[in-house]
Amino acid sequence: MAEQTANRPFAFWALYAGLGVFVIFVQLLPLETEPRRWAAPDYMMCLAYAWVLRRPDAVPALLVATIVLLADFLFQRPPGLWAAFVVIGLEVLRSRAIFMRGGTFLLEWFTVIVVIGLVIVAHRLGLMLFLIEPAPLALDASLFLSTAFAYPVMVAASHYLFGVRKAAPGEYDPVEAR
Amino acid sequence: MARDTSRRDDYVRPIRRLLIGLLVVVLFGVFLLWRIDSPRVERLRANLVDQIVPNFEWAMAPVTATTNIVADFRSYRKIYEQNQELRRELRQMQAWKEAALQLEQKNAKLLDLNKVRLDPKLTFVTGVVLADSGSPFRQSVLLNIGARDGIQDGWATTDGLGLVGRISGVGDRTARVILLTDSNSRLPVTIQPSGQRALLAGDNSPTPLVEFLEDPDLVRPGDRVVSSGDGGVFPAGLLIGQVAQGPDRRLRVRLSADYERLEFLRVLRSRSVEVIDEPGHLIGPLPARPTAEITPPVEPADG
Repeated sequence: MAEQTANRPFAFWALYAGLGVFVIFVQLLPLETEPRRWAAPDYMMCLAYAWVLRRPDAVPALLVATIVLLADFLFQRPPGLWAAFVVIGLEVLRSRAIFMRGGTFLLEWFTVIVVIGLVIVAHRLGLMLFLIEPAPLALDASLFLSTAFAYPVMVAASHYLFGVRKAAPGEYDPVEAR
Repeated sequence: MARDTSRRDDYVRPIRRLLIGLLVVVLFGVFLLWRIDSPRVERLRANLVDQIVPNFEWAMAPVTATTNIVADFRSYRKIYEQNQELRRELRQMQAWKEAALQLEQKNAKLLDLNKVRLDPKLTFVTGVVLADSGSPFRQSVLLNIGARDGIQDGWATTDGLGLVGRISGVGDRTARVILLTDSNSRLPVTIQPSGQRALLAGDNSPTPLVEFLEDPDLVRPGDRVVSSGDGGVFPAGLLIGQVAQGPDRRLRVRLSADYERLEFLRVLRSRSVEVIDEPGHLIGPLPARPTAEITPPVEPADG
């Protein structure tokens, strides 16, 4: 038991990194070169938030920062800004993770939606502060909506496919793991 | 044991918080650096893309091809109607071809009579589209040719028919093309029959806007739009598209290039344009050139 809990975070880290590279790869495929009216969800942010509320040790901040910064660079975004706000959001949720362990899913979803909204707004404000023309409002709004609605799907996928489940109290707490 | 972990928590927490803070500061630092010294960071980005994306090529090509085949397969249902339509169009085309041939001969004759010297033919390098920008906020594609093939920033890119965009960001093996639809794209254009100059401004929609038009009354929907060559951005006369009027009564350009299927792109090698930068002198006899006869160099006598 002790060995398993010690080993498993590494598996989750590898899984998260692998999924990140996969998502970047799929989004880079030149399938749609016409401008789109809506934005696809930010899968890596969604997945990180879903995991951090279930297994806080599965998504270390450095890993998320690396993946999102890589995406920043590859997707022609201003590098660093989006990654910084995503990491701040991640840490806010991490500090709430313990209190939300027993709550309902609706409450969790609502909290995550608020955090996602704040991250997008903060990113927009940051761009404006540095006199960079932000994306059209409709695109950011659609990014917010699609990410918010992708969240339950990500949670379900993490639960059934990847086995990222809410730990029962004391399952992986080192205090009780003895 | 329990006491042990709680004591470890006591100092792990602040350190953890400090490290996270440091991480966020580093990320903001990258952003600031990009804002301050954009060219350097963009070069870093180009190199990063150059290192990473070509490694995906083996997987990207088949996946893209498969998806496109599926999309093609869907269109088989309409194949009969398409066939009829194509036949009709082909008949029209033959008439046009005949007209074009006659005009070409006439043009060649007239040019010969006038001794007009045209631009030397543009040569081009063809590249395959490796990847798109990956997000709906930027409109660009990545080509599999780069500095290795002599590609330079600012060169025009077409899909064989119409202008697609310009090279912006060259790695060793890859080059990025900012499409005309990107919200950062601005291009001086001429609108054909009236010869009006304007600026084509991308706005993240499939049809870029026509801006700074001198006299909008002279421009009708359906007019041809070509690059004007102003500012030395592009060679003049590259076909871009046709003027169309949007539902908001603003003039837009329907692009000739097929943006739905960007697969192979031609990068036009622009030769550097000679710039005339000094005013002409007074017209008069040319000053005599100092020649060797007038001022023979004084040679020291050999001792």
